[in-house]
Amino acid sequence: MIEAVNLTKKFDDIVAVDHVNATIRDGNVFGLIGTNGAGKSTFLRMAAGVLRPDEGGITIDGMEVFENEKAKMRFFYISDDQYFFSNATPRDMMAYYKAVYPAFDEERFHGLMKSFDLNERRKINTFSKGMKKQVSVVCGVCAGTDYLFCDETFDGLDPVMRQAVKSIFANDMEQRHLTPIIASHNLRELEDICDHVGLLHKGGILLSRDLDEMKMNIHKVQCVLLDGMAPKDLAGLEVIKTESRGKLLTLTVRGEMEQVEAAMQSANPVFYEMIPLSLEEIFISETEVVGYDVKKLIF
Amino acid sequence: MTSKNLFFKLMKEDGKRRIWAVALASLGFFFFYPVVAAFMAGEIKSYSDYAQGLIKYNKRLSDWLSFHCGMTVFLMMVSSLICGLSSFSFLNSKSKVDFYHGIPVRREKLYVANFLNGILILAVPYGICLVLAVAVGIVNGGNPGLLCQVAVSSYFLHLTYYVLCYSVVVAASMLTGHLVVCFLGAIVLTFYVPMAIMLANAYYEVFFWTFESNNGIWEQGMRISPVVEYIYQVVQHAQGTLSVWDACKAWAVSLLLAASGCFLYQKRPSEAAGKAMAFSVSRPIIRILLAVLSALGLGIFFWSIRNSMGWAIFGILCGGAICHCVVEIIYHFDFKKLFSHKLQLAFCLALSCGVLVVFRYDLLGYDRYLPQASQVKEASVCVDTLNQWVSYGSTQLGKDGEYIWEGESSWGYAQDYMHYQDVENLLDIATEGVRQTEEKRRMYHAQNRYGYGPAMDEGQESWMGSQVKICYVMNSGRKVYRSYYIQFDDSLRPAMERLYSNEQYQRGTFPVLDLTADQVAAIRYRGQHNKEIYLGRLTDAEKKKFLETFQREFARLDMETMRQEAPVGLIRFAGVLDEEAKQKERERDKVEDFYSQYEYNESGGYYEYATVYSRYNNEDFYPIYPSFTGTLECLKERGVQARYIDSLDVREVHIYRDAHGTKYATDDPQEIEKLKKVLVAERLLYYNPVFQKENLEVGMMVPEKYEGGTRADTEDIEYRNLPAAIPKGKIPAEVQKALEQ
Repeated sequence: MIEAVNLTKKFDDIVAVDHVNATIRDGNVFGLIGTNGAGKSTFLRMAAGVLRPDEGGITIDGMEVFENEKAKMRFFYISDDQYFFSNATPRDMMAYYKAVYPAFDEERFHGLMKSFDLNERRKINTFSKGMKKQVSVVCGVCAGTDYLFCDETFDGLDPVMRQAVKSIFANDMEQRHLTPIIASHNLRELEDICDHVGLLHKGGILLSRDLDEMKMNIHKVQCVLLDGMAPKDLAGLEVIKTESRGKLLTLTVRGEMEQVEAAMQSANPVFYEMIPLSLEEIFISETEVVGYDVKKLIF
Repeated sequence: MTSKNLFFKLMKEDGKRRIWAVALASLGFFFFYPVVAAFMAGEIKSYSDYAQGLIKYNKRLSDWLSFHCGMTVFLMMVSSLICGLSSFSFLNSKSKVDFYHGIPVRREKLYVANFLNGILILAVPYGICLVLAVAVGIVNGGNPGLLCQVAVSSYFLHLTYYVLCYSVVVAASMLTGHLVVCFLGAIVLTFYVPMAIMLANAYYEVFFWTFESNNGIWEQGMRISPVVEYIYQVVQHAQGTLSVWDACKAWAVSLLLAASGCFLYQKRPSEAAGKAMAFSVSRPIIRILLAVLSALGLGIFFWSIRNSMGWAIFGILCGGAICHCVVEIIYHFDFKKLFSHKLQLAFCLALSCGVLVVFRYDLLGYDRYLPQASQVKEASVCVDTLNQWVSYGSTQLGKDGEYIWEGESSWGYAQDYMHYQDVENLLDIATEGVRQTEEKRRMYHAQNRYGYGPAMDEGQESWMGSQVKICYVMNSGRKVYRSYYIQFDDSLRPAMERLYSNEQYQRGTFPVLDLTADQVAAIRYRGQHNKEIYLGRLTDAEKKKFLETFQREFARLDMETMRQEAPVGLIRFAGVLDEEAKQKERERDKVEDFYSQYEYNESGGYYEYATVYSRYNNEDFYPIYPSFTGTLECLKERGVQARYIDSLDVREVHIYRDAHGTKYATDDPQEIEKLKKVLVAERLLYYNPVFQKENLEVGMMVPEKYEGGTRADTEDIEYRNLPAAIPKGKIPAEVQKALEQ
């Protein structure tokens, strides 16, 4: 289990991660989502022991990560701009990783490289961005670590590769309890893979919940209310956001589905319908609550 | 996984990354050693005598392989910079830092692996190429023992100072986060201290008129720089005085620097990659140090041009502000940030101006310093005018088989050998020095500080001007140095008499007084001209008697006698090496053109027409005064007429008041004989700086001597004009009369 307690990191006068508390359970896929500059990469770099926290700490099974070989042996970190030695081939990278990760599975590496149709002897600097990401993922998966930290790793992967990677993750989670921690702002990509989501905003963590639980607790209701009635008159509903198009209202509300339905029924609307929320919509709603106005960016 | 395995794997992998550096070093050393060794071997054929060619080849190759080969030093310095910068260049890139710091390897392990690789990248190709060069040398007939010995010692010594320079560059890498800034940082770490020391020395020299540079302290300070230390040791090696202990110290310092580098790496934040400075705490320190140094540097530059406080302050403001702004731009990589720390800039400028004011107006009283007599254990003193004629040093046999005079400064000799205890007397002289210095400071623009100045009291007449250097050895062991330019008047006469007659002063001033008879191989005598008289083979007892007589009479010589008497001849107690050198020259004279080796002795102009030509022949002579009766008696016993003017065949005497003024001339033999009794040898007066003579130009016309007689025997007579002098107040009446007309 990875646990961040009061984790804080400042760059000069900018607070990149501000007293974050989070727990990442083993065997789940943890999605770290957030706006640009929310602190996702900084959080992962601290989790990987690259950065030393200014305050608080981050541990893996109780072991501080920073400058701890034993703790670092438990994960493989794929940064958003993964470094490969100049003129190195995937085989060279494998040799290096094999030297530092004792459980590195060379056979699987060759197998996966073949599956991904990547030439092990070709120089990585001749690869496309997506191919480089594939090499990183293959190396990460084959390192045999318990955790895999992926910073924007799915960006640049084509849909087929994304699915392939997801299936590798699923396979490893099942077979050896791999715990991938994936930082991304591409919420659609995380939606069907993450079990648990941590939402970072301006350095602080807004929420950290199971995705299912999250989806259960926030809903979108499309309705037409009786004349003279306003959304604020809907008793028992915690309305986060209201959009209106003529008489048709789209409400984003917090609460369990049964509670919301009961509240809507009691208001006796002309019409109402429960619409499932995508992770992206949940993200936008939650960030808007804390003042991150998407409209301002769009219009 | 065992740590040891991982460590070597890391080294191997890093080696793969830096294969370009290995290739570069291999290529460089290949052309530098085996190729040059083979190239030199080709020159053997150009010698008609193969044996001679081999000797030259051995010498040239061993010089090339040796530690004092300048090209290797340059190569090592450049290599240390390249390897130092490349060893930890990954720290300058965010993606590389993420990679290296994300893997399960502790920083110190990574540090040691990369640090050692930086050494091996050079050490291995250098070692292999050196071995190849030695092999090439041996194959071509070189001396295996000599070449192997030179190569091994050179390898370890070069590697020692390579590691020292390399460690400094690595330390600079740890302090910075950008390759260019790291390069600049390495330059600052290497040269800041020598620059600061040179600047401090310049301020002391310029503003403190009594400043006497203690080269030892400045030199030690300069050697803090690894490059200066490297060059210093190379020079020491060339002179054959290299100390193994110094090399050990270099290793210890390298180890310390390497440990500091490791410590800094552990503390270094990963986010420093790409930034100018890795540690925010070091930013203001380095900026202020650089700004103050450059402010003071430009300040003294403008002062030296104009001698004006206005210009000096202008220099300080410009130097400080420009440097501070440039450093700010480098720190932020942003031109707009040049005035980011205005308060610190103001502090730098104020501090620099403060330093200038303290020096310019001597607010700390440096020039007024006089210690309490009770605080001083002993002292060394050097009165330049009194010992300007003394030779310090000895004849040495150089590595090239040539004899040379290895000189030493009078001041250095005094510091080594003088233990002057009469501090009260010395303080009397120093007090006058302080007074005259203060007087001159008040008239700065009107008077040159190095002149003896108008600092005399009204009505006083100076009898000598001299620089007086003093080194006080305090009771604590600390040494305090001062130097004064003093015009000596009658008030200082007793103090100077007391100083000159002091045995401790004499022993620290005249090396002849410490000479023992067993060190004397021969005794030589000179009159005014080139004639050097070798006093034959002397028994040990005779040498002892000669030496002790001279030492006794020389030590007894006081300044009053010197004022009255002029030297009548010069004597030298030559050592074994002096005689060997002389003998070698005699042999060479037989086969080589004498005039091709003619050398004029510039020190005193005495040997203008000397037939001896090497400098060691003209050193180490001491004057013989008429009152040295014992010495003169010894000379007489060997058939030497000391007062040589008596024996000259003077045909005419010319006396001028000034170059174009009144003149007295006579060719009357009787007049000449009378004058000869008064005249003294002008050029011997170089050996008596306090002798008082009339301000006249006196010339004695003497026929040139030739083998088989004089030119007088032929049709034309050629004369030589020998300069002479008349002692103060002893102008003969008829001469006086003629000059007054």
